Amino acid sequence: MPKKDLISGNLAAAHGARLSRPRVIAAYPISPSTTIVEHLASFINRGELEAEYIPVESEHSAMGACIGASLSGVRVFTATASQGLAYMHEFVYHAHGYHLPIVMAIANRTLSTPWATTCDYSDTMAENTSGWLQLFAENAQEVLDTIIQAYKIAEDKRVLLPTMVCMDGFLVSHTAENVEIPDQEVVDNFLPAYSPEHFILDPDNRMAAIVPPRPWVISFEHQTDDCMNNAKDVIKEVGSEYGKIFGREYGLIDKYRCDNAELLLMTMGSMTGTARVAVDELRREGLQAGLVRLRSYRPFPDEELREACKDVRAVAVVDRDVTHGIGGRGGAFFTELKSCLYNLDSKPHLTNFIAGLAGREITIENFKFMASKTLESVKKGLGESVEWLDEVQIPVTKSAPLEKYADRIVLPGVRACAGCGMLLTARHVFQTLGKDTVFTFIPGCAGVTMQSALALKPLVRLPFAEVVFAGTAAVATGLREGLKIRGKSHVNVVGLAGDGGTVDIGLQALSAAAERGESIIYICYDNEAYMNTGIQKSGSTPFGAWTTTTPRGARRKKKTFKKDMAALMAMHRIPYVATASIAYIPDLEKKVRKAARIVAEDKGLAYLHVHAPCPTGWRFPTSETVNVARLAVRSGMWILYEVEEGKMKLNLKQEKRTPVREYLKVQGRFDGLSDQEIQEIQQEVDQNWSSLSSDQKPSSTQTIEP
Amino acid sequence: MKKLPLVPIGTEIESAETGSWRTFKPVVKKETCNKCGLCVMFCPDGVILKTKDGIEIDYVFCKGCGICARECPSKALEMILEEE
Repeated sequence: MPKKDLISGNLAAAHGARLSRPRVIAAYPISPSTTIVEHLASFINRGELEAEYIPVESEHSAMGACIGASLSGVRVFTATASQGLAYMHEFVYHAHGYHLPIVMAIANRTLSTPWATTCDYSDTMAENTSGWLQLFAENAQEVLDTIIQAYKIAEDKRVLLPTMVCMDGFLVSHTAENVEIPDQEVVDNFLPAYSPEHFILDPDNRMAAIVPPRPWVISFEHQTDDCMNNAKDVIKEVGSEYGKIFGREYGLIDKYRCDNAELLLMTMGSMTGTARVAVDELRREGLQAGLVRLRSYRPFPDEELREACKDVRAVAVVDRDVTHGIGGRGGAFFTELKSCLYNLDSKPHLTNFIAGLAGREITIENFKFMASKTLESVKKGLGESVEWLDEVQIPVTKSAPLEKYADRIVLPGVRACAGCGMLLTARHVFQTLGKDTVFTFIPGCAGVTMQSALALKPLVRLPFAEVVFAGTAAVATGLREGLKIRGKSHVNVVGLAGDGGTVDIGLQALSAAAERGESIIYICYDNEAYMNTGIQKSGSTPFGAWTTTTPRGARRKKKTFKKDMAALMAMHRIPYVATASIAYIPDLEKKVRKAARIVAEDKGLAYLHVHAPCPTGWRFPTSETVNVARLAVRSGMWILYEVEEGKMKLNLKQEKRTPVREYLKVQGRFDGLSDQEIQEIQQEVDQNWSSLSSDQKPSSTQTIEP
Repeated sequence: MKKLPLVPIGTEIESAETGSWRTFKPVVKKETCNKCGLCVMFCPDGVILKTKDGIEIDYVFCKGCGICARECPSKALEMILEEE
């Protein structure tokens, strides 16, 4: 019996994936993504899904791993959104030519800038020439149903193309609906196991993808284009078969009250529910309105749309996106609809409405306005037009009193959690550096809390720009060079990022900036997971720590030790590397001053790695932040040292160390560690210390002295 | 309609009263405080200010995390449940 449950679009997507039995899931759950992969990690942990989840360090690698896994001949799944999809782009494109039927859930969210994490289609529209199918679901049920269908469509031998299943970010992904969850057995009968023949990497059946002779490429693309076209029939067939088995039928478009309609609203995604109500109201008011929802954006269903439009007077197309500079202006749906209606003998009047960008609500009234506006231009005989629903209300806000903080760089009122280690770090770092500082950060804890959400108001008295996740060091490099040319070499250029933005996705840019000798100050506040997005594992998460992607349990727990980032930076032979802790503020300040001096002398990159506990993610009371940081140092879990011009100096010699158990037991994230695991951690710490204090020098840093 | 700037830049500082987040309120016992300033240093939000009489907590912003009370070597800060 299928089960009904009140679940979010994210969980519905995870169930859809689970029921489709992917064997490899590779995802970077961060920049930004959703809880889809967290749910999948839990399914695997509970033994409800036999799959490997690879928590990669970036979306680029997520799609890379998916491509690798698909080439090995197994079914794969991933999920992302917005910047993450954009960062993946190179590999997204790569998948189509290998004809890998990868299914990817997308919670559509705005592509920056301006920054927003809310819903629109700018992310997937930027991938609309990538050779992926793009199916847009209206609600959570359709998300689940479409993911199951997507595998069947993508793996069909007439198609063999990767497929995106899109849902509205937040509006569907993070809200709960009643969803019917089918039985595994029934899904298994509908969706057979994946058995590729066209391309697989396996010594038992040797094939190699060759760079083809250049003149052949056009022909390969021609075949892909035919596959995309074939997908129209396959989507309809699969949607109809699904309907027969599961009671919910799907097609390329979804029509509502289109009989005898003189005006059509055309929508995509979740706005359709509101539009249906608007159509009902318009009909009651005497206007013969109808509605067409575009479900398949790729392939674009020309025939169905031509058929729907052939007898109507006017069409109001709503785009939750805009294609800057496109011929005729407007959004993607509008533009393509126009081209597909070109051959109609009697064409309807078209008006395009750009609405709902970055999650702005589209109301029943908005739809009724669109209908009347469109009819008005028909009556007046005006040409097609693009209208923006973009009225802005600037709120009158009053700042909290700040008279006491005239000399303060980071002002109070930052929306970081109570007891935040990051804020304590940032506050002292910037106060020490002073006003001749420019900084860049990323959408981590610092990026999202140190500015006001209500209006354009910063909470830091410094110039800054929030940039993309992988780019802290790259942007800082450019800033430094530009300021130097403008005669402002004295300005401190700071890159500020968390551990995820440093040791995972930001590593490439940071390593390169270090190697080039860029005179920037790079500060990593290490809270040992992706905290801002909901406590997902990073490369800095310690052995045995709970996170939402490393839940407790043998199957998914964190089995490796954290990346030793400061040592890695020291191996770049930069002039200054230091570790610091929020429990030792004077030491931190001293190191910040030293870093500033070194970059002022243009000697190269100065790197500071600050241990910054997080009460929210580490599961301890907010009052314990400093104490936990101190215990980390006293137990030797965190070592305070500097490497200056290749010379290493321990800042705090711990003759007698507190047992690591004392540090672990005050944090909920380490609950349930066995004695043996605690012993393993203790041994790792002891070994670290003995290698530091012995004469044995690490092989690649010959100049380091104990 | 007021026109927005070309880029969403902000120049004017504005802050919000995070004091409303508080469940427990740190209260200073003046007679016990030795004015060491550790609470000033360790307050993540920087809302404990040094005055000539000792310290002053800015309740407009204090989120009530309790680090100050936890770290105070002379136990001069007490966390008290906020009343309605």
